[in-house]
Amino acid sequence: MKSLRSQNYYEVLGISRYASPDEIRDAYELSKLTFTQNSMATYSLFSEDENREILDLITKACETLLNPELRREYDTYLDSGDKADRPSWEEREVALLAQGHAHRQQGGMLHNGVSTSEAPIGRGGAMESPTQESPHSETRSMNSMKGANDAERYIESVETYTGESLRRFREIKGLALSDLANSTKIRNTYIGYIEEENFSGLPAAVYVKGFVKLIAQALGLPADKVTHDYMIRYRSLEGKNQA
Amino acid sequence: MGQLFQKKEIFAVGGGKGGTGKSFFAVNLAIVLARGNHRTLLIDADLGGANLHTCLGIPAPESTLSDFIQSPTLRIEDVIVETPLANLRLISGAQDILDIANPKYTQKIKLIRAIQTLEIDFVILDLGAGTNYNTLDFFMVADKGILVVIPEPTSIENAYRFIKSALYRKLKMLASDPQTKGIIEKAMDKKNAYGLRTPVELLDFITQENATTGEFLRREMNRFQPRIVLNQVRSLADVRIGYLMQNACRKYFGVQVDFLGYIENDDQVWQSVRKRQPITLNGGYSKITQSFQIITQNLIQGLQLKPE
Ligand SMILES: Nc1ncnc2c1ncn2[C@@H]1O[C@H](COP(=O)(O)OP(=O)(O)OP(=O)(O)O)[C@@H](O)[C@H]1O
Ligand SMILES: [Mg+2]
Repeated sequence: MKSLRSQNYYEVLGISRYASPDEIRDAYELSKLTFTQNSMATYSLFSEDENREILDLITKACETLLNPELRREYDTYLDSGDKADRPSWEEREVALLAQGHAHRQQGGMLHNGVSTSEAPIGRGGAMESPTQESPHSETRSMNSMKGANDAERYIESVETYTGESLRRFREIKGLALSDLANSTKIRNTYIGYIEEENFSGLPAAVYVKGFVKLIAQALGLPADKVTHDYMIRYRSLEGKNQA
Repeated sequence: MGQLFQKKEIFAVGGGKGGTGKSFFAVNLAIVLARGNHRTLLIDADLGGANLHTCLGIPAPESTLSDFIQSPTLRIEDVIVETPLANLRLISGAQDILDIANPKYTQKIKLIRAIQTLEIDFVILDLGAGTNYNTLDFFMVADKGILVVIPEPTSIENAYRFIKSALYRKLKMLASDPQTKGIIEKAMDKKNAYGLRTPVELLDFITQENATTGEFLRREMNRFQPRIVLNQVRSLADVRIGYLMQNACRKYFGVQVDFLGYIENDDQVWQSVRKRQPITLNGGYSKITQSFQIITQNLIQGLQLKPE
């Protein structure tokens, strides 16, 4: 048996390469029960953080395999062998998702304390709608000089990064949503939802984390701190939504 | 060379925590096997609290397992006693606290060798509580090890400790070089300097140091396949704990645990224990007997409980 991080999604869920969607869902339900906080089966083995990490991974595995398009991509990826120069699946996946390929078609089917949930099926329609453009988009070139100073000052003033601070910072840099979408390869609707902290429109937590990191990098913000702050906020707000 | 063709399987029943029903399980498993026309030998290997003869409702035998282990002249046949049930024989445990032996590994191997010479189909070792070396060694030499767990945090925790201790002891014995042995020994301590928490991490670490040894131990670990039986179950949610434990073990230990089945909590059980009449002997068709039949089938056929 390999360590969890080196297991592929099928191994993580303990299912075969040919598992049906129902088998995947069953494996997911079982894992959710196993790795929730205070679960009798795990409290003496794993810490809360570890349980959450495992659940994140399981959620990700499950969402990938329940999405026919992503699963096909993933199988192809697995079959392509373990070459050293091969990009990681995470890179490939974030790229696919960012372009709006294979977003969750089973929206709202998987929920736990971590992943986004309750998004009604058919939400896809709303995702296609354009998000509002930044008011600064036309004055971008004018702002770029002044932007550099503002940006520095802004970074110093921020204690905790939120969706709002990502938006403000993007605007200070004079970037439109579509600019950021181009440079990060993340769909602008997703970027919009991240800024608005509208979590129900977003894929599972692990993806959100990946997106936020890409956005932070593109904006030249301290990516680790941004992701860390954002995910803490994400979890606490998610918890409230569910309660 | 007749024995070569004789199928003989040794089952060990343990589980860490005391009073979960290990002896109850061992006795009734033995009865179901004997009833199924399998020649069965029940061995009371609980060297601290032998009581299987009482569970079976027979008087304390004169010679015991300790006698056999300690005496160079006694043959295994000398300590086997018949029971009222056809096909079921017993080796009783130590009666007197002073008899408690602390057999060395070689002495345990002597027992296993002697067992191999017997005309018998199945052997069941009741190990008693705890995770001392005696218990772990018997668990490892058995073909299949069974943990009797009850759906309570302490029992589950003890079962995990048991699995971890047995696994580390097995790996340490199999590792031939002193360096690897040293790493495993250190890893047994929860707060080890290497920061190794789980068996999976340990094996990754060993593989980094020595790829051949690492791969060898990984193969052995894949062959380590403890079984669990959930006893004293009160609800469907309790039953599910079997599957949850299985899932947790796969992630934490990297070990495949088979969930054989469950036995309900039932007043008839303690009544039967009190009357010294094993419950599966009552005849008739009880839920408990049915559970034992399912578990026994799963055990001998290498299967698991099918999820509902
Ligand atoms: N399924 C059950 N329903 C009700 N009572 C049970 C059940 N299983 C076991 N018991 C009760 O639990 C008690 C302990 O059982 P048993 O002696 O078999 O445990 P044990 O694990 O062998 O204990 P030890 O660790 O001391 O060897 C018995 O008195 C028995 O009546
Ligand atoms: Mg006992």
